[in-house]
Amino acid sequence: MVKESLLHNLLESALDSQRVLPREEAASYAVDGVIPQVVTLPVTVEEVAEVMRLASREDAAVIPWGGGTAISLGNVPRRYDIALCLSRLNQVVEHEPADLTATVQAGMTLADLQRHLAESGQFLALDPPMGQDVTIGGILAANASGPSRHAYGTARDLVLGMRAVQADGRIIKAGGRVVKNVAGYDLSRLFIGSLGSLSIIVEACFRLAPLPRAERTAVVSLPSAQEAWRFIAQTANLSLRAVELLNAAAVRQTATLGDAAKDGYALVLAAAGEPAAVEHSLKEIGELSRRAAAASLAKVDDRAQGPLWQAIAGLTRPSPSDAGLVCKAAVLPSQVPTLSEQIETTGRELGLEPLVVSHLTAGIVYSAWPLPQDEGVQRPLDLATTLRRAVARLAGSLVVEACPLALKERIDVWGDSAADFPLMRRIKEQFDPQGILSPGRFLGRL
Amino acid sequence: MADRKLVRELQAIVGRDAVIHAPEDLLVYEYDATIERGLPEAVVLPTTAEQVSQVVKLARRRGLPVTARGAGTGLSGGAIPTAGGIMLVMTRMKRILEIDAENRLAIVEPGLVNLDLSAALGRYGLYYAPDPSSQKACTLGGNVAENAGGPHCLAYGVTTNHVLALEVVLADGQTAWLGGRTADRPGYDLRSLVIGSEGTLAIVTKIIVRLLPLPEATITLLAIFNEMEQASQAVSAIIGKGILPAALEMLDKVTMGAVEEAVHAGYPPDADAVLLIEVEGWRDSVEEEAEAIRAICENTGAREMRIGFTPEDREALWAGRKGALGALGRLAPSYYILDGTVPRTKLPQVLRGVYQVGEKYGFPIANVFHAGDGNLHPNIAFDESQPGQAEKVLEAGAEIMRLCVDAGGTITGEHGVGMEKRDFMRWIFSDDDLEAMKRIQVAFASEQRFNPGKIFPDPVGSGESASRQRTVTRSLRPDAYV
Repeated sequence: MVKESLLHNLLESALDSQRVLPREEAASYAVDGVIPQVVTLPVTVEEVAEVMRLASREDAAVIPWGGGTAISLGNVPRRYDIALCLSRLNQVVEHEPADLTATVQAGMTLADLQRHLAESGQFLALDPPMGQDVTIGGILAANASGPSRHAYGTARDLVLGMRAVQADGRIIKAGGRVVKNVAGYDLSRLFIGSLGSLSIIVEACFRLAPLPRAERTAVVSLPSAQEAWRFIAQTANLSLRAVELLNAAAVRQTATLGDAAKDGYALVLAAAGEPAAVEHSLKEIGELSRRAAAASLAKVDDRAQGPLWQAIAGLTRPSPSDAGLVCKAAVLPSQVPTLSEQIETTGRELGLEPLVVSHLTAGIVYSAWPLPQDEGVQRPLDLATTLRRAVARLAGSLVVEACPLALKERIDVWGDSAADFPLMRRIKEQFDPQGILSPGRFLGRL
Repeated sequence: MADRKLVRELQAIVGRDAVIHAPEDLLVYEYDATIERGLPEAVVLPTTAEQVSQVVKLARRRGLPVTARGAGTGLSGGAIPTAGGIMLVMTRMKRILEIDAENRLAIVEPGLVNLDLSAALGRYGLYYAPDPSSQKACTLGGNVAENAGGPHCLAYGVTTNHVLALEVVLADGQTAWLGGRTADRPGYDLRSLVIGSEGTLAIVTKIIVRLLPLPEATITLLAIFNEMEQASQAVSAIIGKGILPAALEMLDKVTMGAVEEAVHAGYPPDADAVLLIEVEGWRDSVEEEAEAIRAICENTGAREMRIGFTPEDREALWAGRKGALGALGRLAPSYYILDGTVPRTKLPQVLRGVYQVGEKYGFPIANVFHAGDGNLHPNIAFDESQPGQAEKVLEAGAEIMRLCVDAGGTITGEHGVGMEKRDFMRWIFSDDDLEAMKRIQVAFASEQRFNPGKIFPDPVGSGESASRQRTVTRSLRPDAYV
């Protein structure tokens, strides 16, 4: 264990003292109750490298910190000495509108980037649920995604290259700035979703998309999740950006949805693209709703769309108090109805009312379980175990994205590892031989 | 040539009819679509992952390298067994194991030919998007190894965007699934490491691919320009307008001349460039997009536009593009296909540079390429039989690659590093970058086992790698594609 004052002083002398926060502020950078000894906010990539050189020399454990919006993700850190806060690396390095690419520093918030890109009529097609403060680095480390993945895919489809600082402080580049590139191993995709356990992502180059010229949202209420699946199967050629399935509890939490799906499910569809294609899609959705026996359709007012999609994102956002449980399951899209209904059944058995929100076509099923502040560990544990079993029967995976600390200490939030785990362990050993990058937080407590 | 004991051991694993070891039979497997050469000691044609595993274990015991090969259409020497050893030819593992139309995925074996998959999917209203120009011959396993692209990658992405999971045999002979049928598997993304690893990390034995619904309508446009510059402007204007066509290809004057003689595509002899543009989707919006593209092309100076709505008409418009590589054989006895990517906005500048290099060395250079994503394919025409020409052409190629790198681009967009571009890797990656990649090989413990001598440059000070001496593609080879 490194002496607190030593690490603090070393960082202060290695960097400008402005780059190190006063000790009393360290508590706000706690991860799962573990408070770092020192918080540093480098302003250049070279300074990040300096921090890592020092950390590796002193064998100090580092957790990169962006907006802190996804910090609930991951297992309890085995050790945590330095919070490496990237919020001051917040610049657009390069944006060439005609190339539809942009290179951005990791600490930039997604909101700031979108504002910048919107001036050129473009955007980065990632819409994770974490809200305004989420940073580019945070999105990449967590491989966070949202409803738009239906049309645009996830970070691994949009990143062209990145710069990262390795555990020993060496700065490396992976990929490039062009949309087609097969030179060498794809380290960018490896680092995406590695939760700061292999390197510190400091910069990324993205493929951008033009802002759709039109967008309309429609809500189709259906008696069951199975009906929703049958409905969506007929929409293959529509110009849809997002296909979200909400259970009745989730609908009730979403004021703008009004009376939709009182006891069934609501399918919230965003059509985006050229105005004519959007209108056509909406018309088709109307036609399909008329044909489906028990469906009812509501078109969302233009001005209400933005707030509605924000409200939907908020449904699965981990609460700051961590009182509740947020689980992300991935199954085959066709199994989403089965899993949704099993989740509802489990809720009834435990006397809980989960919000179930799915990216239907991706097979991603979020369930958010509000729990009282004084909840013990047993019921969350039973819950996680039951859900894991249900998902395992469907050959899917389940990540507990947020939960009370007491539960985190009992489970691996990522689930069980598989036959490829020894390979993952060897990769971790190669990139972080000392075990100083977010130690213990990744799958299998790597 | 293999020793008898090795042959017997291999035969015991895969059967007598699945081992090739006679020197005259092995010759077939010593090259791919480059003219790199390397003779394996024995060729094995496995039919199951278990056989692959057994062969890898045997190779490990004997300290032999293993090189996987699909159809041998690769353009970077990826399937050349530079260090001899055992070659695994995957073409007998070509079954479609499952089509899950509802979830839009299929499980296939690596020896399946790319186009055969889409053909089998037609009746489900689905298709597999990546379409390398060699798709009638190339295998999906080869596509995975090289992270293959194709004309339609502009809108849909390359192989890595369409593969959900891989079953692989690792260097110790163990079998593992990387990724899965379902999205966002927890853990490191090992699948993305193997895709594009050019056979150096693992042998792929099953692939789960993502499928797309067939578009309702497709329209192909052909725009003829007097100036290359105008065509480049049209490309930028189309993308700038927020239109992302399914394909956006360019042919230059040299290519058109050769194509005209060969397939009579109807290109005017005095035109400088042709754009081939394809839009797909819902009928009305496709028509709207096609109309917008037509207007843009005319505004930027297109002298003639042709539009194809029916499959036959579209096929006719594509004929010149698809026949381009074959037609180039008319220019000279040999040609050298290059592959580099630059930012789209740098295309005009880099193309000018490419022609200057041609003039400097006295080679005609034909450009036929994926303009929409900045992926250039200059083809240098030359006569291999003239002494010194092959060396000169390699020099010219290196200069063109340098132009791509200097413009902020890269040394390969879709063909792979293989043997020919190993030394160029240092132009885009530092020692630290390369060392980080090398760690992946260490983690997979595959450095000595799988396809040695690829991707990585020789360590500093070891001299020019011998492999670059003969990296020249012969023309008129039926299996050379871009």
